[in-house]
Amino acid sequence: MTGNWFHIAKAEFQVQTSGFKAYRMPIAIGFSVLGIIWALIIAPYVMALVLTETLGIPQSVLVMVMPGLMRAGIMFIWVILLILPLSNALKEVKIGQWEILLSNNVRTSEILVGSFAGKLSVYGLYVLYLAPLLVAPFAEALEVSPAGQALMYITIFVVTVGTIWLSQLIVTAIQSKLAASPRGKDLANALAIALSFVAILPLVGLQLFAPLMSEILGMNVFLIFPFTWGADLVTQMAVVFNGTGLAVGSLDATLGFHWSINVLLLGCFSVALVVLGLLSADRLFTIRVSTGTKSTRTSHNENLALRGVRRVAAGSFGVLVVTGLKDFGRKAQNLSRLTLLMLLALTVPIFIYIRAGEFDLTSVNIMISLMLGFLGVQVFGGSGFLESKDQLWTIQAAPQGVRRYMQAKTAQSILLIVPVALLPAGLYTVLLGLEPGQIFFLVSNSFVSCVGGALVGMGIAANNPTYEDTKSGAYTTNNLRAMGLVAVSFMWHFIADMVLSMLGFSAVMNYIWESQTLSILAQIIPLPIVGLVVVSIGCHRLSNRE
Amino acid sequence: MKVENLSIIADGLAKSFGSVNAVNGLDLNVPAGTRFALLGPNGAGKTTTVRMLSGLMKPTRGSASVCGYDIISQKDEVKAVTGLLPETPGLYSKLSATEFLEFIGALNRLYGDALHDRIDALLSILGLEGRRDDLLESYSSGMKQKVLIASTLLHEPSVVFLDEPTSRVDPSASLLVKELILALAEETDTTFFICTHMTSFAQDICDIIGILNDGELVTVGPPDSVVEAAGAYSLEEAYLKIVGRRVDRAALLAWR
Ligand SMILES: Nc1ncnc2c1ncn2[C@@H]1O[C@H](COP(=O)(O)OP(=O)(O)OP(=O)(O)O)[C@@H](O)[C@H]1O
Ligand SMILES: [Mg+2]
Repeated sequence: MTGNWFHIAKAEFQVQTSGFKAYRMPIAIGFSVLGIIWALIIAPYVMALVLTETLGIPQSVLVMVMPGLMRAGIMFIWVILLILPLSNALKEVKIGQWEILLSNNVRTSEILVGSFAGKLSVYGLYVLYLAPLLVAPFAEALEVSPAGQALMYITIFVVTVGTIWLSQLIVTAIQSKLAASPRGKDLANALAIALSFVAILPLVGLQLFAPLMSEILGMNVFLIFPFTWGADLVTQMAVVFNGTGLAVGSLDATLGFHWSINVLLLGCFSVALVVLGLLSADRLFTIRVSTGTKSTRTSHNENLALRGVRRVAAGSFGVLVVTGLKDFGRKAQNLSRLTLLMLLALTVPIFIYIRAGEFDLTSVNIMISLMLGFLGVQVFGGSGFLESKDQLWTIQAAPQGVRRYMQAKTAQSILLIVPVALLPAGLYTVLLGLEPGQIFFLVSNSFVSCVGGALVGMGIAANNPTYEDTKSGAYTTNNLRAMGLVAVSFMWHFIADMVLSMLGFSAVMNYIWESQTLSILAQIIPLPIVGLVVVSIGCHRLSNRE
Repeated sequence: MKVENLSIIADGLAKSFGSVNAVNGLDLNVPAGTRFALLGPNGAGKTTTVRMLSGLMKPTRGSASVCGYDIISQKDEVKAVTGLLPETPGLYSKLSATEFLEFIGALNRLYGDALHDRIDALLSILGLEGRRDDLLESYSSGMKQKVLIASTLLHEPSVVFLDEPTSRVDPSASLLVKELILALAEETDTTFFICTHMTSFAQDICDIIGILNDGELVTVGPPDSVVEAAGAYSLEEAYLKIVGRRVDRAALLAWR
């Protein structure tokens, strides 16, 4: 069975590049050639121009910030390479696929090596484009010799390959544990969402606290992280091979380890990873479909809230809402999404405060409403709207089934949004010390925006259902459309402002902007209206027969 | 054959998907209270026929009525009097069997004790009472099929469409489904319209058999006369003769 890993690698490569099927090879080769030209010629030239000509940063300053920036950059590569593939792979835990592989007598280590090799090509390209941005400025400023530059790139290459390997190892380990259980797919999805959020954090951090970040990363605590060894090594290579007469020992104090120790650490770490992976793959993570946590979950007695819904809506509609709520609450991915977006809704106004230094009800209100609009789309619309085409048939088979289903979904979302909207509103009520009237204003705006987002999400999903498939192009399109609609609904007033003043009605707009309440309403109100329209179109389309 | 009380009438019913003519001018009369089996090779158009007759798909041409309701203009009435067992189970993985049936009942405007009594009865008939509170994600595919059969019968439809009801269940469950159909047909005058690949199943319980080939109904009649007309000994043989798929031994191994 030699060469199994190669076939897996090929399949993985095809999956990764499925976007441009027909021209896969020419495009891949084209990108590689372009990448090399970019790394060797364009990037150094452009960066030199930007740094010395445009920004005029003196070399001494560059050398001072280099260790911190290098650590930040390499950490960025590390996080992207570690977490994005992980999150992507988790979205595709498919037991059927494992069954096919296993029935063909494939070993776990072959899956590991194969998926690694397949990913390497694609993620390697990312690095080919990103790394020069990091290396070129310093190489230029310090006039590093070609040999030195080569060593810098080799170091980054080793870090990259090691990271992809580590990520693949974790993916394989998690998949081998999750694939076996009936909840595996759901849990994997939930985990994937959490991970993609973690991947965004450093980006947000860089945006907001760039100076602070490199200072933080300069601390010696970071010497325990492998990416620090790589980053420091790159810095040291630049200094050792510099052509400007910079003393070799001049950065030793800031960097912690001598370069030889960094080489040793990075080398041992990489070798250990490979050995560990190959050894553990077949022993610890044997993928067996029949084993694992085969616990079956059982539904329990209904809690107070559900019984309350049943009491209030006693008829069959109440039953629809209650079953919908149960279904929603039992999906780990829903809760994971809800938690993450809630965190955003709670913290984004604070981030804005840190940046702008101002904090008032108007901006907080708009920020929270926008975030809750996004939350509505992500959590209550989109995935989880329908599980499969067959489920749709089942619903359509009932008289007016689709309409009643959509109505129940809406009612269910509204019930869930009540506590969701109260949370950020409550936090900022305390932080801003609001009065009752203002509290009412904030709460109602939050609620209306979140419901609006949910309606948009549901409507778009109903227009073109993608079911549980969160990797498909249609899902991405839907998602972008829904998020775009929410954003546009919030910015609609800009357009209205422009059109009205062009038509000579600028007095109307001025009147609205004079009043704080009116201006906020002008920003908040379009979303629920758009939501209602989209959801009715979606409902109509979904109940239309083929 | 009783002619007076027809529950399904199709007149030149046709459906095409682009260039594919899935169903091609289907004429059909199914009397109330009969058990009708639709046989035919894969891709013959059985599922498409059932979807049109239950109001889920719009025919490209032709018309049909179910229990006197027109499938084009009165689709909600049609849906109210029919039950459909889809070809592949599309269940809510995170609901238990009881909760799923509650959901389907509610979609058909049933609720309360009346609904729960029916759910209890159906689940125990199908032998699922021990697992009724387990989430459906942990069910085997045959168990899911049983839950769906229960969901099809829940609102006591007068016409039941079953698309391959026994394709996943074990022999004893298949027998159970047969008995259930026979009992229901006797007690309640329910019409059953069953798509199946099992000729023996069709022969055992159905009064009329239709064979669909390439979207056209090539034979209709009681099982015995279908067998007789084809000059065969069994329904399976008759089916093979009519559909005309002869097996060529040499071609079977040509790929090696
Ligand atoms: N939604 C659809 N879009 C396009 N073509 C379709 C669609 N549904 C069915 N078809 C085509 O219509 C034809 C009949 O399909 P249908 O599912 O009705 O066959 P069937 O008799 O139920 O087959 P089987 O025994 O395999 O279930 C097939 O050629 C199929 O490819
Ligand atoms: Mg079919």
